[in-house]
Amino acid sequence: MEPLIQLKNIRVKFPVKRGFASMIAGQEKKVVHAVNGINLEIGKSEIMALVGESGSGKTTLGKVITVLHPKDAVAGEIVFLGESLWDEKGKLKSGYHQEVCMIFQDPYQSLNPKHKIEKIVSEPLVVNKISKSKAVLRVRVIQALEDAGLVPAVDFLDRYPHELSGGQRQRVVVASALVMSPKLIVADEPVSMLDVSIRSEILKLLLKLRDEKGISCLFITHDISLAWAISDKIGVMYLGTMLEYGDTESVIQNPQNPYTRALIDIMPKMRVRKNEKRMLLKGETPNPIELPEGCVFHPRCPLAMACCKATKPPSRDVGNGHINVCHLLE
Amino acid sequence: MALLSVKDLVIEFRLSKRKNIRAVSGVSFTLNQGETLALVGESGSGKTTTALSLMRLLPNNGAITSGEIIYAGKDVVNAPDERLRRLRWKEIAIIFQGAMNALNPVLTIEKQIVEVIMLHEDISEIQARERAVELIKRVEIDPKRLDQYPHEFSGGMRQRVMIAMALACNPKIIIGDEPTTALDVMVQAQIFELLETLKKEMSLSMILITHDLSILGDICDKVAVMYAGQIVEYGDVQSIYCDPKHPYTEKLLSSYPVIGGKRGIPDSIPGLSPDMAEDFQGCRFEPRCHKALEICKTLPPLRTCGENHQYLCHLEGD
Repeated sequence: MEPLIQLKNIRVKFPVKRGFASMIAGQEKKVVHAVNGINLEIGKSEIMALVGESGSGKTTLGKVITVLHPKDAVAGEIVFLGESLWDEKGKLKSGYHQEVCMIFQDPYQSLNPKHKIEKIVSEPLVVNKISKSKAVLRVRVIQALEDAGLVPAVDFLDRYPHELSGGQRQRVVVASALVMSPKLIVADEPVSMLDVSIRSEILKLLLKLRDEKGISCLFITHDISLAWAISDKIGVMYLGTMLEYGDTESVIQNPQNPYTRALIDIMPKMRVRKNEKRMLLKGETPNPIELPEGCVFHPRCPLAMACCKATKPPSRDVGNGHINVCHLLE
Repeated sequence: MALLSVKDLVIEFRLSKRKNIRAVSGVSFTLNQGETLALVGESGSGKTTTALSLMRLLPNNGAITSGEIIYAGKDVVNAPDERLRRLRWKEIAIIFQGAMNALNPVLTIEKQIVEVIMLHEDISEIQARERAVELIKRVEIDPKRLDQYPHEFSGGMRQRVMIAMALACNPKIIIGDEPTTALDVMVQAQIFELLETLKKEMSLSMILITHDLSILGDICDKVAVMYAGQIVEYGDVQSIYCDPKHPYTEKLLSSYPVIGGKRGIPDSIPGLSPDMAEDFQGCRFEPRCHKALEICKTLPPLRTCGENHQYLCHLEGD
């Protein structure tokens, strides 16, 4: 089946602002290598999870898909439903912003406190010049609120964000994505600000949208156990590179890359294990201005060998599209 | 004898002339030397309020209205100012929530640590600086970084600095208020390992405030699950994990997906925590409880099962 969206060799670089002094001193312009050559495919009605620590480039990649970066920062090709996202003149495919929407992390900050829910949810329609008629807008807003599980929707139209609970706010954020009838939702840590007891409701909502409306989702999270619960496919990112990629079952039950193994091993397991030895990595993700030579993960990898420092690791298919980028063999 | 014991603690906040909120109602627990106790609960359950009251650090409109706090055999609730000064930081220190905001951005790390030491101890600045170097080594940061500013540190590093500051006066008890909430899982695991090592080396006791039940098994000995200002279940980690008695604990535990375990969306608890200004006539969790019975509209009894395992519920658990 034709995938919904394909990313081919995506690279994102951001220039670092230089101070006046370093400019006179003629220091070289520095660049942050946020994403370095990522290939990715999301199928129709599929939930793909991007997992990694902060600084791994997962949000940057999410914003590549929603085209929120300045154009000159991004290199590579994006194919949406079999067509390139930009035409020869470099113009974005019309209507793309209606097909792909983003949900942000913090529902306490992503809703305008001075606007009523109706205005917040209808805003994307107005901005994209879909309709001016108040009646049409209202019908679509009510539909979106209902789809997001806020029923009866009419009761919410005239309320302000501060009158809603955290879970309800996040549903409003989802509704303002749904109002565009998108094919893909990029959800950036959609539950990390919510209390545990209401997290599952939002997760269930995303699953319901996938099953009933066929909406695909790129689920960005640092919590690999959430990815295990919800996703069909997982991509494990580190320093702008995809280290492992494949079906969720396969990646979690049979992790190949040392980084994935460490991430899984370190997750709390709901049992007492104070005296167990765990695969604890030292240090933190290095600075993306100067990427390590060879495998980007080698400075922290407990299994690093000489070749890991020298050459880029090959990507190997270990079966069923489960790809591991590592020098180590089985 | 327990190092710290809290009995029937009640804390009220005055919101306006007529409105009082009872944030903590009748909390009891003990902490022994070398132990780690976790106060777990959702936001608004009173866990931070309880912890702050141990150092008498409540905001002005809050007060301990009844109950007792005994630290090393001495009363804390009515302690004179002089004793309180000693208690704060030399006996009990706290690692505040949000390492990002708890450090002063315009002072170097060294200045901030030295400031803490000199405020509490009568030593020269040179000695304080020497102690700062020792402390920063303890939390595994290169002492060369002492002249740097907070913005030059990553989140995990800043949290380490906060820990160094908490250790500055050799306290007996450290309170960690959500010490790893804003951090990555890997950094969280590193911080826990550091705390574990420090605990052994310096024979510390610890109170960990957290909303995350899944981390308890990695660091705690005892757990107090809080809901709406009460401890609804209290016991050692093993029994809380393997044999939870209170429906709230049960539900909370199943709200976490366990990696490699059964797949699917974890449980959720419908509804919201109650309004604390309410005068409770029955079980506080009753409106959200999946096992609620008619009897739950009356106040639940405190039940005991096994050694040191208590829960507040009408049901006898199963």
